[in-house]
Amino acid sequence: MRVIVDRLCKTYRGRRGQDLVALDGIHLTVEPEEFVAILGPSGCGKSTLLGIIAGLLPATSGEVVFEGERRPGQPLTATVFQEFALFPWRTARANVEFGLEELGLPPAERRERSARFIVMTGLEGFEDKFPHQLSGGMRQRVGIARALAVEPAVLLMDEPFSALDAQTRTLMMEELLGIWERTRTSIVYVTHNIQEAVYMADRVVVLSRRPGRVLETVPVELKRPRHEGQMGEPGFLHATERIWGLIKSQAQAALVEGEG
Amino acid sequence: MAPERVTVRDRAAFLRRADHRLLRVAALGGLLVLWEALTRTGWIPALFLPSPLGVVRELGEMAASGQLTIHIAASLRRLVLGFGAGAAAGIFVGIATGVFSRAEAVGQPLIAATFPIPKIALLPLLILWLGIGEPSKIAVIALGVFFPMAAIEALKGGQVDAILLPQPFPGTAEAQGFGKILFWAGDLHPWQTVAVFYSKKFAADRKRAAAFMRGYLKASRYYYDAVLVQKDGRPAPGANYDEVVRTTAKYTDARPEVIRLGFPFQDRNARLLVTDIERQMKWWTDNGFMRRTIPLKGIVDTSFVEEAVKAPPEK
Repeated sequence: MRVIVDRLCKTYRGRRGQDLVALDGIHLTVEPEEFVAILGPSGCGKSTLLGIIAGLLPATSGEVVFEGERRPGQPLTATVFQEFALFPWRTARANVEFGLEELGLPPAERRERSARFIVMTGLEGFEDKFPHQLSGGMRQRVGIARALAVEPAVLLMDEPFSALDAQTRTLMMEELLGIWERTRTSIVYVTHNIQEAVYMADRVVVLSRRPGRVLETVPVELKRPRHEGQMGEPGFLHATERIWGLIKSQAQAALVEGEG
Repeated sequence: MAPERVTVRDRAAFLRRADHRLLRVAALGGLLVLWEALTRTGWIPALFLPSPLGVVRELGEMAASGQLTIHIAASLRRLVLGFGAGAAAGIFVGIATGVFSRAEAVGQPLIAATFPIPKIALLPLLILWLGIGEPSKIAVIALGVFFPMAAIEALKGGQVDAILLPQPFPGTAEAQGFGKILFWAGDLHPWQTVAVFYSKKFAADRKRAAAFMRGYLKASRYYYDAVLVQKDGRPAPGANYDEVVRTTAKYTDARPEVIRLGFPFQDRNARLLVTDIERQMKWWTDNGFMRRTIPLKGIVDTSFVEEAVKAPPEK
């Protein structure tokens, strides 16, 4: 399905009545089978935007619309969270099957689907482990498998690899691209890492500091399937330089103000 | 599959709650108004629930008369002393267990085990520890000091209905108004709580052991004649009554008027209730606390006291 974010605004009302404008007139579209990264400095409202698309936060004005063909019972979105957000009392398999239970699938079908996504995310042999027995990388594999298992129209990812160490992050990025090549589920991928965004996405939507506005949408001209070697190609360098040029002054201002 | 157009709605809206600030204030204010109305109309007697305005009025009067300051000072004093003592002990134990691994090994399980228990409920546990542990002098002293105090606390707190205690504890309980003396055990049953223990070494030194017993016997008779003599079922104070009261008060830290309420019984000639020792041992073995009775000869030697009783009175 196509996602249309239309003149979306979000204002947080403080306790003392002072307002904080997090998003100011965001307008963007995500096409079917597209991988879009949303990138911006700290505190630009990236996660707020993702939360509104997921239907987890109310918008102050504007709307988010999903358009296109949908299988009966197919969820619009599923989210992969930065801090994994797994159920600690459930095994890896039971975590993956959680959304399927919510969809009301019979046990046999749940088992068949969870097995498929466990294989796809490289979790074989870890099905019966609990989250605390898994490494950070393996936990996020469970988080991704859980989100993919419900076969959502759009997969939302909120800095999914930023809690992982650099090597694991690189490996997980490659694996996610592999998974995306196979499933072709549209992905909205929030990150503050320029290289990560350019390496993974078809387009990078660059947001400004608060109040968050779309500064520019930068297309990435790199062939798929992608591989690490492309990080030295002119298309990659051009896109990263362009984005850095857009947000450098913003990031500097954020640094001085000490915004988290 | 059919083309659709779905607007995203806030699926988590049910989790968010409105503040309703006015309602919060109104709820609190409403309760006060209702309360005032109920007491003012006499629905609830002011004796059981004073009205809010009455409380405020009383506050003003007490502040004006200086009563309030006195009561606040008294409460603060209790608070400061209680908190100070508790905090000092707690900090000491806390630092000790934090710094020393051995202190932690010893203290941590004990603290973890006893912390959630109402403190008076520790009484049975303490009896267990002191009873089963080494029958050392320390345990005897700890029991002697701790047990009556803890028992009195149990009586005070209402955890027990009645206890059997030696003086001056019953007198203290009655004087402070949290207990009432029902009867003296000695009035119902031959009663003797005092015995003299000799070490093997001291008993072997026959001459000195006998001399000590003669002195002890003299003191026992002095005590008996002063405070334990009865005439027609009533205490008949002897010549040295006040002196014995003073001496007892000095060494037990109890007030003289409490001491006067009653004295522990002691045979005038310091003789043991030997038959009672046998009877008690039988009870302990019957109830499985002792494996077998010990021959009296092995633990009781009445020859010293009999020798002292027969000795000619001193000049």
